[in-house]
Amino acid sequence: MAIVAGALVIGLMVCISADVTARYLFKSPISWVFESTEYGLLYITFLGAAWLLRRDGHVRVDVVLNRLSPQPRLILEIITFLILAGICFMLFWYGTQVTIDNFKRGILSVKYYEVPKFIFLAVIPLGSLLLFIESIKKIINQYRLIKIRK
Amino acid sequence: MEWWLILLLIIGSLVFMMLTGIPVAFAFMLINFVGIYLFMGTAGFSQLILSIFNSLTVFTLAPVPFFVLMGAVIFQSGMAFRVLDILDKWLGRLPGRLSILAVAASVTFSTLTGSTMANTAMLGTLLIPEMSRRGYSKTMSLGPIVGSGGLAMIIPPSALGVILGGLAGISIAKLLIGGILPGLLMAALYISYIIIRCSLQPNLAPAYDVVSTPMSEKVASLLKHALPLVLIIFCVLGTIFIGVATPTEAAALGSFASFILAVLYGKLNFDVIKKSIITCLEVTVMAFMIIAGSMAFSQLIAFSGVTRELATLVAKLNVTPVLIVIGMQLVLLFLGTFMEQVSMMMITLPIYMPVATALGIDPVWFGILMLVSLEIGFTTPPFGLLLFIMKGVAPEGTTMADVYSAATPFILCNILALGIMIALPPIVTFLPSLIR
Repeated sequence: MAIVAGALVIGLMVCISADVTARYLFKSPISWVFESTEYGLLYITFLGAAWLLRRDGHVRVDVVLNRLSPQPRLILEIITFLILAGICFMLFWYGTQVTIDNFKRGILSVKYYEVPKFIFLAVIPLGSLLLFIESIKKIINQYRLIKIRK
Repeated sequence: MEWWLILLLIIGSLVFMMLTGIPVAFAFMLINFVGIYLFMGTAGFSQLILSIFNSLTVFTLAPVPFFVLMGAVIFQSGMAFRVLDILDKWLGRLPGRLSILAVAASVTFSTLTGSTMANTAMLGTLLIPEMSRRGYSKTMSLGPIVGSGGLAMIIPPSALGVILGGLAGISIAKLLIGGILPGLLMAALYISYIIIRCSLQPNLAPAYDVVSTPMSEKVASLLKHALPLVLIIFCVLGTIFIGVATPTEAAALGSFASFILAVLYGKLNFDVIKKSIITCLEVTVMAFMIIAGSMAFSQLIAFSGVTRELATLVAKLNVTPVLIVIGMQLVLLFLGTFMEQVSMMMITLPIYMPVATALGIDPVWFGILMLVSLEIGFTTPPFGLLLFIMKGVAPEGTTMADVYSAATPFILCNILALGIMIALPPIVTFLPSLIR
């Protein structure tokens, strides 16, 4: 998924550069670039989120964590990952409902072109599901660490 | 419930959740879920999803990935190292020469990248061994690098500036251009401090003979290695300034140009591309997840009526707007001692912007002041991020206390710069007023 996100960044870069050049030199802008960029940002973020969680790349305030001794630290981490998993599940659940609702009612995203909005919304539950899976993996890992320490 | 009690509860529970070590983006999400449930019941949850959708499908945020990508390509391909070399050749015999070199290099790198962390880490690794070999004291070796590392956030291209502009509804082009003079002002303050201190206490930074380079070689290296980078700077700043491109387009062009340059220098390979994209994704996804999580948070605060009450209260207060602005910066400085920049912005913006509008404050000026305060937060003890990065690359035996005391004079320089900008707004507003 992160590879897809990376490819999206490069793709957008080329498209936008081409768009500026086209507009400035030939006075003929490529009109779909603008809105594709907007949806691209949403896709990049949600496709990359689970990958970033695996790399421990989401910013967190570790002031308290760093002061705890290993055992309580692991327990606190398990608790926070449980909360995290819960949040991601909620995002997945309600994200799916909103997406299905948009699909059923055939809501279009109207900016320059009419595109069914659910295509773009769908990445939110997808990304959240991956995040949920990743946080469960983290919990299992931490739990194993506790067992090893005992 | 009283509005201030609601505010206190929301902010208090958010800070508490953050302190447990849950990633910041998800701390925001959790507060959103709880808050929305309390205000609107489960029906509000689908609104939350739509708010996430709307928070990221924003064209003005698009420069962020491109600015980071551009900086990463320039650093990973080794093109940035050349700059240091050129500066070294051109700089004459000055008191505290290497410290000044560090500041000058920082300014140059800041125009090529928006990442303070890469900036600090690279300068630290490259310059500190040389400094300690020459007998520089810690104050004069660690200090300038930590102090000027944050310039990347003020001097365009600044990813954080883009985020601030995009979220607060301030013109991003003006915010980026407006950062130029304040950034130079801060660099000038650092350099004056270094020269004065080293003239008074020469033992802090022992002078040494500089191997002089012939003029022809100086010019040749400048043309060969610096000119192409100037091209990138033009792609980004020039196009914004003369009004050819929007910041997003300028950023895309800049990153495209950085790839082309890397090819021309024969420095582009799969490894460079992969590492650059990874850096780009890490920074972008991290920042955008926080934005996704905190947009609904801002709406929650607005919905609870807190913002309106606070804005009326401040408008009714009989103090000059400048005092309120100073107060707001002090709050940011305090938050900066333990919090990360994007989250600080997301907590304060929904409260600050309505107040600033109510007081009729120039948003560009206010935005730059905020950026400077956020930047200072990077270097303030005990938890400023740059301090830890510095500790990471400093020679063995350097304690955290060494880093703290080395950074202090430069933090004071920054606060002085903030004061000058508050007293003399044209420093910030002059250049943006020229944009077409």
